[in-house]
Amino acid sequence: MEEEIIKKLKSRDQSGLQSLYKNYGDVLYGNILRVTNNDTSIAQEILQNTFLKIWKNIDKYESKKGGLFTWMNTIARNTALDKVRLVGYQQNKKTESIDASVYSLNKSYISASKLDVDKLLSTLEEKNKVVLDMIYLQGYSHRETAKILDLPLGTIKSRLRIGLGALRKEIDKEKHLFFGFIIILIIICSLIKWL
Amino acid sequence: MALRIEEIRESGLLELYVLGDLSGEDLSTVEAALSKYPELLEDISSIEQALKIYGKIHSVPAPNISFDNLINKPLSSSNSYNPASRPAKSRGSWLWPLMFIGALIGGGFIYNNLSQKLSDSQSDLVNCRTNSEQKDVQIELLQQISNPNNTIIKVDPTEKYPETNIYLHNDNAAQKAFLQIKSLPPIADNQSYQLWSLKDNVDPIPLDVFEGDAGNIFEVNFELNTGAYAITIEPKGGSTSPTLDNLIGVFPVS
Repeated sequence: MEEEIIKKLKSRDQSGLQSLYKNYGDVLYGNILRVTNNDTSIAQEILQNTFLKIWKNIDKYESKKGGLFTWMNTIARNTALDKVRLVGYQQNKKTESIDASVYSLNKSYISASKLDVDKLLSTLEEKNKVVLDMIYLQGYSHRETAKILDLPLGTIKSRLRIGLGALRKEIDKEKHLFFGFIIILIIICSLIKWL
Repeated sequence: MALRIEEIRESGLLELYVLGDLSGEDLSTVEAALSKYPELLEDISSIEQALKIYGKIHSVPAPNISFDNLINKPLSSSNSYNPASRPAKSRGSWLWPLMFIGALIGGGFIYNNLSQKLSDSQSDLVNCRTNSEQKDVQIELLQQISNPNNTIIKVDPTEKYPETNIYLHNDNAAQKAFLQIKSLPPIADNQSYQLWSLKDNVDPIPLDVFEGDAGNIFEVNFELNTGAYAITIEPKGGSTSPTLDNLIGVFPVS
Protein backbone atom coordinates (compact mmCIF):
# COMPACT_ATOMS: atom_id res chain seq x y z
CA MET A 1 0.00 0.00 0.00
CA GLU A 2 2.83 2.43 0.92
CA GLU A 3 4.54 1.86 -2.41
CA GLU A 4 1.29 2.64 -4.22
CA ILE A 5 0.87 5.87 -2.25
CA ILE A 6 4.48 6.92 -2.88
CA LYS A 7 4.05 6.24 -6.61
CA LYS A 8 0.93 8.42 -6.68
CA LEU A 9 2.60 11.22 -4.75
CA LYS A 10 5.62 11.18 -7.03
CA SER A 11 3.36 11.42 -10.07
CA ARG A 12 1.66 14.42 -8.37
CA ASP A 13 -1.62 12.53 -7.95
CA GLN A 14 -3.53 14.26 -5.17
CA SER A 15 -5.40 11.08 -4.24
CA GLY A 16 -2.04 9.77 -2.90
CA LEU A 17 -1.97 12.63 -0.42
CA GLN A 18 -5.55 11.91 0.60
CA SER A 19 -4.74 8.22 1.20
CA LEU A 20 -1.71 9.25 3.19
CA TYR A 21 -3.83 11.56 5.31
CA LYS A 22 -6.45 8.88 5.83
CA ASN A 23 -3.83 6.36 6.98
CA TYR A 24 -1.46 8.52 9.00
CA GLY A 25 -3.28 11.80 9.67
CA ASP A 26 -4.58 10.74 13.09
CA VAL A 27 -1.25 9.39 14.32
CA LEU A 28 0.70 12.43 13.15
CA TYR A 29 -1.95 14.79 14.51
CA GLY A 30 -1.81 13.05 17.90
CA ASN A 31 1.99 13.39 17.97
CA ILE A 32 1.88 17.04 16.88
CA LEU A 33 -0.85 17.85 19.38
CA ARG A 34 1.27 16.57 22.24
CA VAL A 35 4.31 18.58 21.13
CA THR A 36 2.13 21.71 21.05
CA ASN A 37 0.77 20.85 24.47
CA ASN A 38 -2.76 20.28 23.10
CA ASP A 39 -3.03 23.61 21.31
CA THR A 40 -5.40 22.49 18.55
CA SER A 41 -5.18 25.61 16.38
CA ILE A 42 -1.37 25.48 16.22
CA ALA A 43 -1.45 21.68 15.81
CA GLN A 44 -3.83 21.96 12.83
CA GLU A 45 -1.59 24.54 11.17
CA ILE A 46 1.45 22.30 11.74
CA LEU A 47 -0.40 19.27 10.39
CA GLN A 48 -1.26 21.17 7.19
CA ASN A 49 2.34 22.36 6.83
CA THR A 50 3.55 18.82 7.41
CA PHE A 51 1.43 17.44 4.58
CA LEU A 52 2.39 20.34 2.33
CA LYS A 53 6.08 19.57 3.00
CA ILE A 54 5.45 15.88 2.30
CA TRP A 55 3.78 16.79 -1.00
CA LYS A 56 6.58 19.16 -2.01
CA ASN A 57 9.48 16.98 -0.90
CA ILE A 58 8.33 13.47 -1.75
CA ASP A 59 11.12 13.18 -4.35
CA LYS A 60 13.64 13.49 -1.53
CA TYR A 61 12.23 10.46 0.29
CA GLU A 62 14.53 7.42 0.03
CA SER A 63 13.01 4.12 1.08
CA LYS A 64 16.45 2.58 1.68
CA LYS A 65 16.96 5.05 4.55
CA GLY A 66 13.80 3.97 6.34
CA GLY A 67 10.04 3.74 6.03
CA LEU A 68 7.62 6.40 4.91
CA PHE A 69 6.21 6.78 8.40
CA THR A 70 9.66 7.53 9.86
CA TRP A 71 10.21 10.18 7.23
CA MET A 72 6.79 11.76 7.74
CA ASN A 73 7.03 11.61 11.51
CA THR A 74 10.42 13.36 11.38
CA ILE A 75 8.93 16.10 9.21
CA ALA A 76 5.95 16.45 11.56
CA ARG A 77 8.16 16.47 14.64
CA ASN A 78 10.63 19.04 13.23
CA THR A 79 7.83 21.26 11.91
CA ALA A 80 6.13 21.12 15.30
CA LEU A 81 9.33 21.75 17.26
CA ASP A 82 10.27 24.70 15.04
CA LYS A 83 6.85 26.22 15.55
CA VAL A 84 6.81 25.52 19.27
CA ARG A 85 10.25 27.06 19.72
CA LEU A 86 9.14 30.07 17.74
CA VAL A 87 6.18 30.79 19.92
CA GLY A 88 8.12 30.08 23.07
CA TYR A 89 5.97 27.17 24.09
CA GLN A 90 8.68 24.95 25.48
CA GLN A 91 9.71 27.46 28.13
CA ASN A 92 6.25 28.68 29.06
CA LYS A 93 4.03 25.66 28.98
CA LYS A 94 5.67 22.36 28.28
CA THR A 95 8.27 22.15 31.02
CA GLU A 96 5.89 23.14 33.77
CA SER A 97 3.32 20.49 32.93
CA ILE A 98 5.51 17.68 31.73
CA ASP A 99 4.52 15.16 34.36
CA ALA A 100 0.83 15.81 33.98
CA SER A 101 0.87 15.53 30.21
CA VAL A 102 3.14 12.49 30.02
CA TYR A 103 1.01 10.49 32.40
CA SER A 104 -2.46 11.66 31.43
CA LEU A 105 -2.47 11.62 27.64
CA ASN A 106 -2.18 7.92 27.09
CA LYS A 107 -5.46 7.46 28.89
CA SER A 108 -7.50 10.19 27.24
CA TYR A 109 -6.75 9.39 23.61
CA ILE A 110 -6.73 5.62 23.53
CA SER A 111 -8.69 4.66 20.45
CA ALA A 112 -7.56 1.14 19.55
CA SER A 113 -9.05 -2.03 20.97
CA LYS A 114 -8.95 -1.66 24.75
CA LEU A 115 -7.86 -5.20 25.48
CA ASP A 116 -4.94 -5.18 23.06
CA VAL A 117 -3.90 -1.74 24.13
CA ASP A 118 -3.86 -2.67 27.79
CA LYS A 119 -1.87 -5.80 27.01
CA LEU A 120 0.57 -3.89 24.88
CA LEU A 121 1.01 -1.10 27.40
CA SER A 122 1.44 -3.59 30.24
CA THR A 123 4.60 -4.87 28.55
CA LEU A 124 6.20 -1.49 29.08
CA GLU A 125 7.96 -0.85 32.35
CA GLU A 126 6.99 2.57 33.71
CA LYS A 127 10.53 3.98 33.62
CA ASN A 128 10.94 2.95 29.97
CA LYS A 129 7.49 4.22 29.08
CA VAL A 130 8.26 7.67 30.48
CA VAL A 131 11.33 7.93 28.24
CA LEU A 132 9.45 6.66 25.17
CA ASP A 133 6.57 9.04 25.78
CA MET A 134 8.80 12.05 26.32
CA ILE A 135 10.75 11.46 23.11
CA TYR A 136 8.02 10.10 20.84
CA LEU A 137 4.83 11.63 22.16
CA GLN A 138 6.09 14.84 23.72
CA GLY A 139 8.71 15.69 21.11
CA TYR A 140 11.66 16.14 23.46
CA SER A 141 15.07 15.20 22.10
CA HIS A 142 16.90 12.43 23.93
CA ARG A 143 19.35 15.03 25.22
CA GLU A 144 16.55 17.18 26.63
CA THR A 145 14.97 14.05 28.14
CA ALA A 146 18.26 13.14 29.83
CA LYS A 147 18.53 16.64 31.25
CA ILE A 148 14.95 16.79 32.52
CA LEU A 149 15.06 13.32 34.08
CA ASP A 150 18.61 13.92 35.29
CA LEU A 151 19.86 10.67 33.80
CA PRO A 152 22.93 9.87 31.68
CA LEU A 153 22.38 9.81 27.90
CA GLY A 154 23.29 6.11 27.81
CA THR A 155 20.49 5.29 30.26
CA ILE A 156 17.98 7.20 28.12
CA LYS A 157 19.08 5.32 25.00
CA SER A 158 18.92 1.96 26.72
CA ARG A 159 15.49 2.62 28.29
CA LEU A 160 14.17 3.67 24.90
CA ARG A 161 15.61 0.54 23.28
CA ILE A 162 14.27 -1.77 25.98
CA GLY A 163 10.82 -0.11 25.93
CA LEU A 164 10.51 -0.34 22.16
CA GLY A 165 11.96 -3.86 22.27
CA ALA A 166 9.15 -4.95 24.59
CA LEU A 167 6.55 -3.46 22.24
CA ARG A 168 8.16 -5.13 19.23
CA LYS A 169 8.16 -8.48 21.01
CA GLU A 170 4.50 -8.21 21.97
CA ILE A 171 3.49 -7.12 18.45
CA ASP A 172 5.43 -10.06 16.99
CA LYS A 173 3.67 -12.41 19.39
CA GLU A 174 0.25 -11.07 18.35
CA LYS A 175 1.19 -11.43 14.70
CA HIS A 176 2.15 -15.08 15.20
CA LEU A 177 -1.09 -15.73 17.09
CA PHE A 178 -3.07 -14.13 14.29
CA PHE A 179 -1.36 -16.18 11.57
CA GLY A 180 -1.77 -19.32 13.68
CA PHE A 181 -5.49 -18.61 13.95
CA ILE A 182 -5.76 -18.08 10.17
CA ILE A 183 -3.96 -21.37 9.47
CA ILE A 184 -6.27 -23.26 11.87
CA LEU A 185 -9.26 -21.61 10.20
CA ILE A 186 -8.03 -22.68 6.74
CA ILE A 187 -7.49 -26.25 7.97
CA ILE A 188 -11.00 -26.39 9.50
CA CYS A 189 -12.56 -25.02 6.30
CA SER A 190 -10.66 -27.56 4.19
CA LEU A 191 -11.78 -30.38 6.48
CA ILE A 192 -15.45 -29.29 6.30
CA LYS A 193 -15.20 -29.08 2.51
CA TRP A 194 -13.53 -32.52 2.33
CA LEU A 195 -16.16 -34.14 4.58
CA MET B 1 33.02 5.32 14.12
CA ALA B 2 32.14 1.97 12.53
CA LEU B 3 30.18 -0.30 14.84
CA ARG B 4 29.46 -3.98 14.46
CA ILE B 5 25.88 -4.98 13.74
CA GLU B 6 25.17 -6.13 17.30
CA GLU B 7 26.74 -3.00 18.73
CA ILE B 8 24.46 -0.90 16.53
CA ARG B 9 21.42 -2.89 17.69
CA GLU B 10 22.39 -2.52 21.34
CA SER B 11 23.34 1.15 21.09
CA GLY B 12 19.79 2.52 20.96
CA LEU B 13 20.81 4.56 17.90
CA LEU B 14 18.39 2.71 15.58
CA GLU B 15 15.44 3.72 17.77
CA LEU B 16 16.59 7.35 17.81
CA TYR B 17 17.11 7.19 14.04
CA VAL B 18 13.52 6.10 13.48
CA LEU B 19 12.36 8.82 15.86
CA GLY B 20 14.27 11.38 13.79
CA ASP B 21 16.33 12.40 16.80
CA LEU B 22 19.84 11.86 15.43
CA SER B 23 22.24 14.29 13.88
CA GLY B 24 25.93 14.65 13.14
CA GLU B 25 28.20 11.73 13.82
CA ASP B 26 25.47 9.46 15.21
CA LEU B 27 23.36 9.92 12.10
CA SER B 28 26.34 9.17 9.84
CA THR B 29 27.11 6.07 11.93
CA VAL B 30 23.58 4.70 11.45
CA GLU B 31 23.45 5.56 7.74
CA ALA B 32 26.83 3.88 7.19
CA ALA B 33 25.64 0.82 9.14
CA LEU B 34 22.44 0.64 7.07
CA SER B 35 24.45 0.51 3.85
CA LYS B 36 26.90 -1.98 5.32
CA TYR B 37 24.28 -4.24 6.94
CA PRO B 38 21.06 -4.13 4.87
CA GLU B 39 19.50 -6.59 7.33
CA LEU B 40 19.24 -3.67 9.77
CA LEU B 41 16.40 -2.38 7.59
CA GLU B 42 14.29 -5.16 9.09
CA ASP B 43 15.04 -3.78 12.55
CA ILE B 44 14.17 -0.30 11.34
CA SER B 45 10.92 -1.58 9.90
CA SER B 46 10.05 -3.43 13.11
CA ILE B 47 10.80 -0.36 15.28
CA GLU B 48 8.78 1.73 12.89
CA GLN B 49 5.84 -0.64 13.13
CA ALA B 50 5.99 -0.61 16.93
CA LEU B 51 6.01 3.19 16.93
CA LYS B 52 3.19 3.29 14.40
CA ILE B 53 1.04 1.06 16.61
CA TYR B 54 2.03 2.96 19.75
CA GLY B 55 1.21 6.18 17.88
CA LYS B 56 -2.15 4.76 16.82
CA ILE B 57 -2.98 3.98 20.44
CA HIS B 58 -2.37 7.65 21.17
CA SER B 59 -3.80 9.01 17.93
CA VAL B 60 -6.30 11.84 17.83
CA PRO B 61 -8.84 12.21 15.01
CA ALA B 62 -7.30 14.70 12.61
CA PRO B 63 -9.41 17.60 11.35
CA ASN B 64 -10.48 17.62 7.71
CA ILE B 65 -8.00 19.26 5.40
CA SER B 66 -9.00 20.62 2.03
CA PHE B 67 -6.12 19.53 -0.15
CA ASP B 68 -7.38 21.70 -3.01
CA ASN B 69 -6.80 24.80 -0.91
CA LEU B 70 -3.58 23.45 0.50
CA ILE B 71 -1.91 22.63 -2.75
CA ASN B 72 -1.72 25.24 -5.41
CA LYS B 73 -3.02 23.59 -8.55
CA PRO B 74 -2.67 26.04 -11.44
CA LEU B 75 -4.37 23.73 -13.96
CA SER B 76 -7.31 22.65 -11.81
CA SER B 77 -9.86 24.89 -13.57
CA SER B 78 -8.65 24.31 -17.12
CA ASN B 79 -11.12 21.55 -17.89
CA SER B 80 -14.30 23.54 -17.45
CA TYR B 81 -14.89 23.67 -21.20
CA ASN B 82 -15.78 20.27 -22.52
CA PRO B 83 -16.92 20.16 -26.13
CA ALA B 84 -17.77 16.46 -25.89
CA SER B 85 -20.55 17.19 -23.40
CA ARG B 86 -22.34 19.66 -25.64
CA PRO B 87 -25.60 18.48 -27.26
CA ALA B 88 -25.11 17.14 -30.77
CA LYS B 89 -28.24 18.81 -32.17
CA SER B 90 -28.11 20.71 -35.48
CA ARG B 91 -24.55 19.62 -36.22
CA GLY B 92 -24.57 20.50 -39.92
CA SER B 93 -24.64 24.29 -40.24
CA TRP B 94 -23.33 24.95 -36.71
CA LEU B 95 -20.38 22.60 -36.97
CA TRP B 96 -17.93 24.95 -38.67
CA PRO B 97 -18.64 28.02 -36.49
CA LEU B 98 -18.40 25.77 -33.42
CA MET B 99 -15.11 24.31 -34.58
CA PHE B 100 -13.87 27.83 -35.24
CA ILE B 101 -14.85 29.01 -31.76
CA GLY B 102 -13.33 25.81 -30.30
CA ALA B 103 -10.11 26.46 -32.19
CA LEU B 104 -10.05 30.06 -30.90
CA ILE B 105 -10.58 28.94 -27.29
CA GLY B 106 -8.06 26.11 -27.69
CA GLY B 107 -5.55 28.49 -29.29
CA GLY B 108 -6.08 30.99 -26.49
CA PHE B 109 -5.62 28.26 -23.90
CA ILE B 110 -2.42 27.01 -25.54
CA TYR B 111 -1.12 30.57 -25.87
CA ASN B 112 -1.89 31.23 -22.23
CA ASN B 113 -0.16 28.02 -21.19
CA LEU B 114 2.92 28.74 -23.28
CA SER B 115 3.13 32.30 -21.91
CA GLN B 116 2.91 30.93 -18.40
CA LYS B 117 5.65 28.40 -19.15
CA LEU B 118 7.83 31.10 -20.69
CA SER B 119 7.34 33.29 -17.64
CA ASP B 120 8.18 30.32 -15.34
CA SER B 121 11.32 29.57 -17.35
CA GLN B 122 12.42 33.18 -17.14
CA SER B 123 11.92 33.17 -13.42
CA ASP B 124 13.86 29.84 -13.18
CA LEU B 125 16.67 31.40 -15.17
CA VAL B 126 16.85 34.36 -12.80
CA ASN B 127 16.88 31.94 -9.84
CA CYS B 128 19.67 29.90 -11.45
CA ARG B 129 21.74 33.04 -12.01
CA THR B 130 21.23 34.15 -8.42
CA ASN B 131 22.15 30.66 -7.17
CA SER B 132 25.20 30.60 -9.37
CA GLU B 133 26.35 34.02 -8.09
CA GLN B 134 25.81 32.84 -4.51
CA LYS B 135 27.83 29.69 -5.24
CA ASP B 136 30.67 31.84 -6.70
CA VAL B 137 30.75 33.88 -3.51
CA GLN B 138 30.79 30.67 -1.42
CA ILE B 139 33.64 29.22 -3.53
CA GLU B 140 35.66 32.40 -3.09
CA LEU B 141 35.07 32.25 0.65
CA LEU B 142 36.03 28.56 0.73
CA GLN B 143 39.30 29.42 -1.00
CA GLN B 144 39.96 32.11 1.60
CA ILE B 145 39.22 29.88 4.58
CA SER B 146 41.40 27.07 3.23
CA ASN B 147 44.42 29.37 3.57
CA PRO B 148 47.09 27.40 5.53
CA ASN B 149 47.72 30.45 7.79
CA ASN B 150 44.20 30.12 9.21
CA THR B 151 43.61 28.89 12.70
CA ILE B 152 40.33 26.98 12.92
CA ILE B 153 38.61 27.32 16.27
CA LYS B 154 35.48 25.38 17.20
CA VAL B 155 32.94 27.23 19.29
CA ASP B 156 32.69 26.29 22.94
CA PRO B 157 28.88 26.28 23.32
CA THR B 158 27.27 27.36 26.56
CA GLU B 159 25.19 24.89 28.52
CA LYS B 160 22.00 26.75 27.58
CA TYR B 161 22.65 26.37 23.84
CA PRO B 162 24.41 22.98 23.39
CA GLU B 163 23.24 22.69 19.76
CA THR B 164 25.52 25.59 18.73
CA ASN B 165 28.12 24.38 16.25
CA ILE B 166 30.22 27.08 14.59
CA TYR B 167 33.84 27.34 13.43
CA LEU B 168 35.89 30.51 13.42
CA HIS B 169 38.62 30.72 10.77
CA ASN B 170 41.10 33.27 12.04
CA ASP B 171 43.92 34.57 9.84
CA ASN B 172 46.16 36.83 11.91
CA ALA B 173 48.57 37.45 9.02
CA ALA B 174 45.89 38.73 6.63
CA GLN B 175 43.84 40.12 9.55
CA LYS B 176 40.73 38.34 8.38
CA ALA B 177 38.14 36.21 10.16
CA PHE B 178 35.32 34.02 8.88
CA LEU B 179 32.46 32.24 10.54
CA GLN B 180 31.39 28.80 9.32
CA ILE B 181 27.92 27.98 10.61
CA LYS B 182 26.95 24.35 11.15
CA SER B 183 24.07 24.83 13.55
CA LEU B 184 22.62 27.74 15.51
CA PRO B 185 19.93 27.83 18.18
CA PRO B 186 16.63 29.16 16.84
CA ILE B 187 15.83 32.83 17.38
CA ALA B 188 12.62 34.83 17.16
CA ASP B 189 11.88 37.26 14.30
CA ASN B 190 12.82 40.23 16.46
CA GLN B 191 16.28 38.87 17.35
CA SER B 192 19.73 38.65 15.71
CA TYR B 193 23.01 36.92 16.47
CA GLN B 194 25.92 39.20 17.35
CA LEU B 195 29.68 38.61 17.39
CA TRP B 196 31.84 40.23 20.08
CA SER B 197 35.57 40.68 20.54
CA LEU B 198 36.73 40.10 24.11
CA LYS B 199 40.03 41.58 25.34
CA ASP B 200 41.55 41.83 28.80
CA ASN B 201 40.48 44.91 30.74
CA VAL B 202 38.38 46.24 27.86
CA ASP B 203 34.59 46.20 27.49
CA PRO B 204 33.35 43.68 24.89
CA ILE B 205 33.65 45.21 21.42
CA PRO B 206 30.49 44.76 19.28
CA LEU B 207 31.29 43.30 15.86
CA ASP B 208 29.02 41.74 13.22
CA VAL B 209 25.26 41.30 13.56
CA PHE B 210 23.81 38.49 11.47
CA GLU B 211 20.64 36.47 10.96
CA GLY B 212 20.20 32.71 10.73
CA ASP B 213 20.05 32.91 6.94
CA ALA B 214 23.38 34.73 6.57
CA GLY B 215 24.83 31.65 4.78
CA ASN B 216 27.17 28.85 5.78
CA ILE B 217 30.39 30.78 5.55
CA PHE B 218 30.85 34.53 5.70
CA GLU B 219 33.53 37.04 6.56
CA VAL B 220 33.31 38.92 9.84
CA ASN B 221 35.24 41.88 11.26
CA PHE B 222 38.73 41.04 12.46
CA GLU B 223 39.75 42.67 15.72
CA LEU B 224 43.47 42.76 16.45
CA ASN B 225 44.66 41.27 19.79
CA THR B 226 41.32 39.63 20.50
CA GLY B 227 41.57 37.15 23.38
CA ALA B 228 38.30 35.46 22.51
CA TYR B 229 35.33 35.98 20.28
CA ALA B 230 31.81 35.38 21.58
CA ILE B 231 28.35 35.17 20.06
CA THR B 232 25.15 36.26 21.77
CA ILE B 233 21.50 36.57 20.80
CA GLU B 234 20.48 40.22 20.83
CA PRO B 235 17.44 42.27 19.87
CA LYS B 236 17.24 42.67 16.08
CA GLY B 237 19.95 45.00 14.81
CA GLY B 238 22.37 44.22 17.64
CA SER B 239 23.33 45.86 20.93
CA THR B 240 26.20 47.97 22.24
CA SER B 241 26.82 45.60 25.15
CA PRO B 242 26.26 41.84 25.17
CA THR B 243 23.28 40.14 26.84
CA LEU B 244 25.19 37.57 28.85
CA ASP B 245 22.08 35.49 29.51
CA ASN B 246 21.92 34.88 25.79
CA LEU B 247 25.56 33.91 25.31
CA ILE B 248 25.53 30.94 22.92
CA GLY B 249 29.26 30.24 22.67
CA VAL B 250 32.85 31.45 22.88
CA PHE B 251 35.89 31.02 20.59
CA PRO B 252 39.09 31.16 22.62
CA VAL B 253 41.62 32.73 20.21
CA SER B 254 44.70 32.96 22.41
